[in-house]
This record gives sequence, structure tokens and C-alpha cells, in this order.
Amino acid sequence: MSPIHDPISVAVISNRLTAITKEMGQIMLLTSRSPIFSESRDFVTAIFDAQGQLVAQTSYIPVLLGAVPFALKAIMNRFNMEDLHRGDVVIANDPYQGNSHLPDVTIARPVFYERRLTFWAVTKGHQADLGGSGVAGYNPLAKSVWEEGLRLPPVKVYANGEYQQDIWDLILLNVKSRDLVEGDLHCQIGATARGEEALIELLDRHGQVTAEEAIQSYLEATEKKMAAAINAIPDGYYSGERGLDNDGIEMDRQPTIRVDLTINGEKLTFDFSRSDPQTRGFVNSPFANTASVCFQSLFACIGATIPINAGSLRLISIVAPEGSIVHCRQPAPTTASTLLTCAAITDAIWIALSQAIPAQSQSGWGRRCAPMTAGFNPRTRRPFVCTHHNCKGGSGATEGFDGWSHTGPVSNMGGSRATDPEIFELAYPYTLLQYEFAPDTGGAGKWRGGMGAIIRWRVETSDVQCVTVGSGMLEATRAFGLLGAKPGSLPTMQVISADGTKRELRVNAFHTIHEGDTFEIVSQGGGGFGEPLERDPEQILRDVVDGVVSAKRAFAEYGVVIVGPEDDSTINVEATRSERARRNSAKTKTVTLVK
Amino acid sequence: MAGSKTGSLIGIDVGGTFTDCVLIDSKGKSIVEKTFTTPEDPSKGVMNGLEKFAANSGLTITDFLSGVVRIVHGTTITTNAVLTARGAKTGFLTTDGFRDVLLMRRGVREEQFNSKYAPPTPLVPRNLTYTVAERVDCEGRQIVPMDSSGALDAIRKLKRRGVESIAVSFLFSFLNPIHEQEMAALLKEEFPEAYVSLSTQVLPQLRAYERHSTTALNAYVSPILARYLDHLTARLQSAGFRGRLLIMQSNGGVMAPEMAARFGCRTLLSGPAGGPVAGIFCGQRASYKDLITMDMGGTSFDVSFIKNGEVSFTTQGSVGGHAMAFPVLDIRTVGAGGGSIAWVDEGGVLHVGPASAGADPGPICYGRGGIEPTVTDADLVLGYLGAEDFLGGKFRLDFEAAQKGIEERIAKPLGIEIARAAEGIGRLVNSTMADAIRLVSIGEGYDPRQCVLVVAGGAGAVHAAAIARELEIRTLLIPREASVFCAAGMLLSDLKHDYVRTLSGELANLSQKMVQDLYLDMEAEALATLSEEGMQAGDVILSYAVDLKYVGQFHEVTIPFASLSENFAELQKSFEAQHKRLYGYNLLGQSIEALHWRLTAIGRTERPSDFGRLPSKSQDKVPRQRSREVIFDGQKVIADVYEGCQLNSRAMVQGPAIVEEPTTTVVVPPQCTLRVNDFGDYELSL
Repeated sequence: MSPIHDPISVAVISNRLTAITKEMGQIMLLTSRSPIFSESRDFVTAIFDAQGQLVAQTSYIPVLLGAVPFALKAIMNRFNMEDLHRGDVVIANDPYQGNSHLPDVTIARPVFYERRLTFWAVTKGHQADLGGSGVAGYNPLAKSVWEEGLRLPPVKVYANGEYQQDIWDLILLNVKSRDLVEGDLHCQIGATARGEEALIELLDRHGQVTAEEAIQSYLEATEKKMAAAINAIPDGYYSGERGLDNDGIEMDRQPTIRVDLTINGEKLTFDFSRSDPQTRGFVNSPFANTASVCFQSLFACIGATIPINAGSLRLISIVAPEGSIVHCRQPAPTTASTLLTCAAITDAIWIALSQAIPAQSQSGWGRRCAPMTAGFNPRTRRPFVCTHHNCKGGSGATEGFDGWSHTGPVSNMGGSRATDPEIFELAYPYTLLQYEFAPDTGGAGKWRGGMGAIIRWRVETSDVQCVTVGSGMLEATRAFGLLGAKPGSLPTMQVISADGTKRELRVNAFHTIHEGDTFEIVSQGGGGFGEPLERDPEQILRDVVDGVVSAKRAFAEYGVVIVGPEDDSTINVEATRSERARRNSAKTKTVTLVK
Repeated sequence: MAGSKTGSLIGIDVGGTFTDCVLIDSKGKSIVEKTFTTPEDPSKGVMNGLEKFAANSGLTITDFLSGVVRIVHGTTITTNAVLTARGAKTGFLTTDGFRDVLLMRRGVREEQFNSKYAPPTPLVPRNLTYTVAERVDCEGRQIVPMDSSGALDAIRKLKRRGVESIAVSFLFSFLNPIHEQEMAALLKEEFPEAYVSLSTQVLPQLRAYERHSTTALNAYVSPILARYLDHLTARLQSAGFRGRLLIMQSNGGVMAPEMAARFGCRTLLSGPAGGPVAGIFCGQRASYKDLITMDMGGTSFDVSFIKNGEVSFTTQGSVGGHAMAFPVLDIRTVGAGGGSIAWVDEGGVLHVGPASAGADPGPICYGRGGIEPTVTDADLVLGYLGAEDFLGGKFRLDFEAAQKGIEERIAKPLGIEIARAAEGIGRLVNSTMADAIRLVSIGEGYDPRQCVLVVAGGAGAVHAAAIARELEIRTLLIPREASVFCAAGMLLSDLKHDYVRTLSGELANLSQKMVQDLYLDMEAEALATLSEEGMQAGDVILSYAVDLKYVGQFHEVTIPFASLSENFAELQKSFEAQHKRLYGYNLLGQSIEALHWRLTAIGRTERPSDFGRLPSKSQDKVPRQRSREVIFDGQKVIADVYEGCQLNSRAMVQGPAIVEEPTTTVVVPPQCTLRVNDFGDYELSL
């Protein structure tokens, strides 16, 4: 290992850069007008060097972590060096110019030091509304990106510090929640202003040469750490495949992601060449989103302590043919790419990784399967938009740990808060009837998948638009189990009318809702990990006493005999031993027969 | 009312390693003692401290205690009960259909990229959570009456299953407490020996998870605290104490033991709460109003902001991963301290922390088996700490071992000299602490450069000047009692109780009469409590605040107001100004919604006014004790070393210099001036 030239500066400056991205995030959390930033934390803050290398970032939700470099690259391609000035702020959201889906807006500010472009301070965040005809931005019937909302190529919203009235007028005329969007764009811009101020302070303090050398050394050091982590994965060729229930337009075809993962020393390649072609509906993933999901899925298994920057990302290659579902061509619609396609890509990658590093891999998380609703709330006399983030599924288990209950979707990995039940009733025209864990939903395994939840609410007004956005309702798309474990439960989503008639809701479709209707959703549990017969009977007893696994299920899935009432149960040790022995020997026989 | 003119006051802060004791006698003279904390029975450590004081004054413990009028006690017994999952066996009763709101913790997994950890141990396991049919809607209307037979059934089950404590929290009970009251009546009849914690008594405010969690925390820790306080009171009484025992709260105030036993959750974050109180005291007597207090100990670094003599509060506290929404002083903590371990990663990058060597084994230089270099080891190698001077010379530090540890684990892997490595460790930990202060100041909307840095904790004064320099702070204030800052702060704390009621609606449409009725109710409760605690009505100060937000927003801003006759239009103006200051914008004229109406009742305790004042005699020439080699900015310089006890008020010391205090060391970098003010506190100018 060749020592770093100035290791103290490297440590101090790299720490400071990450701290600056956190200060930018603090500004976002404090100044946001919609709860999307302050509660769901759907944004990322980042610093790039003059060459466009990602230097430091803080991703408040994981799915955005790797998307920014592509957006900045598109911005740098659009503008010549001489066209950029101090006080410029560039906006962009076009999926076909480095972004993921239209609601995720990139704001980039070039930072000048001694008249030279030195850094970029960047944020990317989910805006409440960017036009279009869907509910909360989601329109499963859209057949092109133009129907999904307003496309913004890289354009300046400030030039030389001057507010560009024309551009603002153009943007704000095309959105429904003008106040919210105007406020949240300023919130993103304010965060980049803090970034600029702090970066100039850093350069004043340390000097430009020291800072630039330290950053390059830091990226190299990060690359070394990443190389060591990839090296620890056995060389080889692994593959995984996972799908979505439909694309909103072709309701009987399951778009499928196939990944071939090659590990060769410290090189890692995700090859999606065998994936399906792009589809007509909104589940297409632009390349930036696919890349971001690759990074997220990999870091969740091997990189909890590795910084995410150009150094760690440069060792990962991604092959995704243009025109495929993981690298769609314009004008394919893309809104569901971050919520739905993200989960399928993650699942395919984790299945592939489980063949290489089973102990570090994770089972599937309960997929998102819930409505988006909007309308008018007569009680508050105001319009509302609800994304139903409280319909969370369980997380997948991993070796040594049960999954977490009610934590999904995997795109956020537990980073976003569910709406509090009391706030839910105060903000929306709904009465919440039930909101608790759904027993027997977590996939059985030596480590059990996290529980899904049952969520029921009654609609108290006639003016509600509803679109469902989800997957996981099919055998081929549900949260998978690993190493002999069972998958998570199949989710259910239905509406019960006041007269008692029930309707099952298909995913990715518009639905008509009436006053007095009751939604009932049972979200998906996470997949289990490892052989269920190896689960410690004491843990199963605890699950039964807690009422999250039924005694019936304890016997059927785990071969454990539990007797007595739920809160006073005990294990019949003898019956359990003989039942497990019987099943183990039956299994050995099957294996022998197969051989 | 207890006061310093009639006897001595004692502050006792039980920490993880040390029990800090401060005594102020009737003349205002202070004495400091540190004893080891006795985790199995913390009252033992408390009594040891008191016995030391008695022995020092040549009295028997009985004679000594008969002259003590007030003991203020800070304890972490409740916090430890939560962190080690050893609270009372607790049951939870809640609304049918909503069994898991407490366990869901709003669906958050704090470390997104780490799949190898479990959620925090529940305060109440699912099997001790029972639901009861009942419902109040979001406007406070009873829509399902409580099912009494179901409630009785649940109570009997909890009784049979041997719980000691029961938390009750129903949906929207803060708008209509009827079902919680009915449940309380049933509990009294069926299970009178159970400790009962009702959400409508603990924290009647919006947000089910936060309210449930605070109520459950209260049920979980109060019986533990009650037992401990009974035990301590008995010990103190049998030793001859006839004064008043008061317990430190997380809001910076104190309360009677009887209140503490009912509302144990109010002590959950009280550990560092004395710090800002002491900071305000020391700052104000030196005429500084805008302060940042920092407390750097062995494992953690606490920061708080004080604007115009007022500390900020937060209702977003958490303990061991469980939400605690009772208002507490907003003290942010990062894992950086003297014990923080320095290490080099596989990419060759230096890190400091977050792991700490703690007190055991501690830094290498303690010679107690520590092998990983820490910040303290670097401080020793750089000459900031003297091997012979630590803790007043009572504890010799091993310089060679520290040097060797830094050489092997840091300098060699990085390919640099030992001194540079040690300096790097210092720079890195200082920048981490400066970042923590910046983040808090951004959250508060203030510029740290306008503030005075008040420095506390054993390691604080070693690092403070460097941190201040990074933040461009010009003035530092280092109280003489810096190392027992929290214990000193406790003696300055008033009796203080926070109340909240919920009345939501657009401000313009709310009935002033209804608001006044809420306050009459809260005031009656406050005055009854304070009078039980020995206060006269004339010594009580009431202050008012309301949580406001724009209609449709999800975050409230707490706006104080002067009196109950305040015009709501004035509230709207204050809200708009505050919103603009905090968030950079406002929406002039848009509708505003009120939510929680808050009352804070303070019962003033008499302060030791002359606390710490030194005889003011001018001192032209300060006796230099000796000197040692110290490294600043890569340069070896010879620094004068002074004994703190030799420096009287108005003494001046020019950097580079070191001042040794019995429990801390003040580092004065070159070009900086240290001055002792009239109260014996150090003021450092950069």
C-alpha cells in the first residue's frame, strides 16, 4: 500500500466534505414545504469536483444515491465551460438526459474559486407535482413521457445570480401545486447555496492545491477499500431474475429483469443484456435509475462502511442495452421506475449475490402494493394528495437477523417515516379502522421475514381519485426467500362497499371510489432466510406468544408443536423433536432420490 | 423556601464513571468532590460523596447533613433502565385495531445500508399489549364507547401475567380523555397495586406513536425510579438530612421526588441537562447572552445553543431508539471524546471514533490495558496534557506507551512522524466536533461566529481553542467548575413543570374563551404541584407558548406569548417572523392552525448569588510554575505551565501556555490571551 502524500489533510478534508452534504440536507429538512422532504426524506445532496467526479454525498433515501452523477454529466454536456458563471443554478429532470423519473428534480450549482470552476453543489429531490395527468404524478395509462408531466432539459433558473423569471413562469404554470413546488425548488436551491458557501470556506482554509490533492487521494483510497470488498467476493458468474406484475397497459405480461453478475478479482459487472425490452407502460427504468439501484443493492450487502463516491463507483460496470426495460429509449414512460422497477432490479441482484456471498445477501422485501389517492377533503376544505406510505411491507431476513416488520419499500430501505395514524385522519378524508401487523405474513426461515401490516380505512367523501401502484401479487414477483426459506405472503388489496360487496383492486390501474367504501390492504411480509426447520423453537414460541405466527403455522412451516392459549403457550418438546426428525429424514430421502 | 443563606447546597450528578458532587456553603464558597459511581446501588456513591464532604469539614455525617438545606440530584438510573432493557415489566392498553403502533416506530430502520442489526428491544412486548374496543375521532367525538368487559378482561390478563406497570394510550385521547379515565377507574378497582401511566396525564398531544412511546417509557421507568428514590430518601434521612431533595429533569428544571416517581420519563435525558443551565449562569454573570455550550467527556460531545439567555427545546428526543416527545433541552450528542479511538482503514485513511476506549480499559496512557491509541494519548504526546499533572498529579500517565501506540498504529501505516500523527488525530476530532456545532447552528438558524463558546467536560478545555478557531469564534468561557459543570448547573435550576393541552383549529376561528379555559385547567394543576413542592404562589412564574403551523403543513413552530389576553393576530405575526428566520420564507396572510397550547410553570429556587466569586485583587505578575514542550501547528514551542489555583481574578496569561486545574487542563495556543474574570472563570480570546 503506497502511503498517501498528506494523510491528515485527506482525513480532515474528506470528513468536512461529507459534513457539508449533511449541512445541505439539514437546510432541505428545515425549509421544505411538502412532507416529501421533511417526512419521507426523498432527496440526496452531493458534491462533485470540476471534472464531474462524485466526491461526497448523503442519500436520505438509498434509491437516489447513484443517480446524481448521470444528471450532472448531462448538465456538463449541455453547457460549455465559458457558459457557466458564478451565481448560475441549473435545473433538470428529463429521464432521457441523466435523470430517473420526472418528479425527481436535479438542482446543480457550479462553485467558482478564483474565477475557476472548482466544485458542483447538487441536490436531487422528489417534487410534489410536475404536471401530468396521474395521481400524485403516477399515471399507469401514460404511454409516453410527455403524458407524465413537464420535461426539463438542463436550463438555468438563475444566471449570474439573476432570477430567470421566464423559466420560473414556464415551470410554475405547468404544475398543479404551484406554492408547494416553488417553495421546494427554493429549498433545493438554498441547500446548494449553503454548499457553495461551505466549499469556498474549505478552499480558503486549506488552499485549493491541498484540497484538490486530498480529494484525489481520498477517491483512490476509497477505490482501494472497494477493491478489497469486491475481491472478497468469490470470482465467478452468478445470475438472478425477477419481475413485475404488469406495466399498467399490458396487464397479463410480467416485465422481467435478468442480471448476470461477473466477479473477476476487483472488477464487478452487472450485465442486464437478457432483460426484457422496454414496455409500453410506466415501469421503464432510465439508465441512471438502473445504475443507482445496482449501487444501492450492492452497498446494502458489502458496503455499509465504504463511502459512496467516484472512487467506489468506478469499479462497478453496468451493461444495459438501450431499448431494454433497464435502459429505455425515449419516449417510454418511466414514473414507476424508482418505486416498482427498483424492487425487481434489487431482487434480481440479491438473488445473484446470494450465490456468491450467501451470508451477506438479503431475502426479498415486501413489494410496494398500495394506492395513491387525491381529491378534496370537505373537513379541511382543501385538496389533498396521499401517497399511502403507511402501507409498508416487511423487510427480508438475512443470516443472523429476522427481517424488520412494516419497513419497506426496498427503494427507501427504512429511510422514510410512515404517516402517523392521527395525522392520517386529520389530513385526509379517511377514517382509519385498523393499522397493525398482519400475522403469518413474514416468510418462514431459520431467520423469519419481517411482518407486513393490515391497513383498513373508510372513505368519507365522494371526491377521491385513485390509482394503484404496486407489484408482488404473483408467485414470480413476491418477496423471495433464500437458502431453503419461504417467500413473504402475497399481498391483498380490496375495496369493500358500504353494502358489503368486495372488489379486488388490480395493481397499476385507475379505480373508482365512492363515499363509504373501505380500503383493506394486507401488505407483503419479507422473505425468510435459511431452512425453517433450523429455526430455534424458543424463537418460534416467542413469535406465537406475540401473535405474529399462529400455532398452526408454527407446526406447518417449522415442525414445532405449540400447545395452550396464545399468550400462555408452551412447546411440546418431545412432539417437536420427533416431527422435525421425521421431516428431516423425509427431506434427506427426497434429496437421495433426486441424486 | 430553601436558600443558601440558611445552609449549604449540594449538587450530585451520577455519571457513568464518576459521581460528581458540588457543595456551596452559605458564604458562596464551592467545593468539588468526585467519587466512583456504584452501578449496583448508585445511592452508595452519593453517600460516599457526602461522607467525603463531611470528613473534609471535620464533621460527622449527621452534623454535616443537618446544615444542608437542599440536595439536587441528577440520576441516569431511568436512562440506563431503557438502554439495558431492565425497566419494569410493563403492559400496554390501546385502541382496538392499532396494536402495533408502538412497535412499528413509524416504520423506520435507522441504518439503511446495514442489514445486520435488530430493532431496539420493545418497551412492551407484543404479548403484553392488549387492545380494547373504543374510539374517539379526529374532532374529539366519541364514536365507539369503551367496551368495559373487554377492558376488564385485558386488565385481568395483565394482572395474571405479573406486570408491575401499565401504560394506557388511546387514539385521539388528547381531544377527549373519557376512555382513558374510564380505564383508569377500572384499573383502580381491579388492579390497584399496578403503577398506571395515562397518556392524557403524561403528554396529551397529537401523534400517536410519539405519545404512546412517551407514555410507555414513563410506565417502564417510573417504578424503578420510585424504588430508588425511596431508598435514597431513607438513607439520607437516617443519616440526618432534614432539607429538601430535588431531582433534575431533562427540561433543565428540578422537581420533588414525589413528582419524579409519577413522571419518571421527565428524567430520561437529564444527564447533560445541567450543562446549559450552568452555561447560562456563567455566561450571564460575564455579560454574554448568545452562547454555545460544549461538553467533551470521555466518550461523547454534547452541544447546545443559548440565544439571549434561553436554551432551545425539542420534542423530538429519543432514548434507545424509542421516541420521547416530552419537551427537553435540545442537546445534541456526537460520539467524540477523549477516549475516541484513532484507526487507519484498509484504504490508508485516518479515522477517529466513533468507537471509544471508555473508562475501561481507557486510553493507552492510563496503563490499564488499553492498546488502541485515543485522543487523550495524542493530547499527551503533543504536550497538552502533562504526564505528571493529570487529575492534579494523582494519576500518572504513560507518555512512552502512548507514543509507541500512535507510532505503531497510526504513524507507521500513514508513513508520517509520530508528532504529525498525533496532531492529525487532534485535528480530525476537532473538525468532527466543529461540524456538530455547525449542524446544530444551521438547525437553529444562527451563525456560530456571533456566539461565545462555553466549555465544559474533562477534555473540553484541551480542545476548545482549536474548535473555536475552526468556527471563527473569538471568545471562549471556561468555568472553573468545568469538569463538574452539570452538577453545578443543578444547583442553579428552578422547579419547572411543562404542561400541554391540545385544541386544534384555524387560529382565526378559535374561541379565546376555550383557550383560556385550557390554561385555567393547566394553571390549577401547576400551582397545586408547585405548592406541594413547597412554593408560594408569589414565587411562581408562568409562561405560555403555542404550536402553530400553516394549514396543510406537517411541522409546527412553537411560539411563546406574553399573556392570556394576547391577541391572536399578534401570534400570527410572531409565527410569520419566526418561520422566516428558521426556514427562510413565510406565506404572509395564509391561514395558520394552532395545535398544542403549552404552559411552563417555574418555581424560583434561591440561587447561591456569590457562587464562585473570587476576592478581586489585582495580580500584575502571575507566578510561572514551570514549562513544557508543546506542539502547535507542527511547531514545538515552550509553553509556560500554571496552576489554576494560583490564578486570581483579573490574572492574564499569554499563550502559548497551559493551565492545570485539578480535573481539567486549559490549553492556551500562541497569540491567544487567557484572563480570569471576577467569578474565577477563564475567558480565552482568540
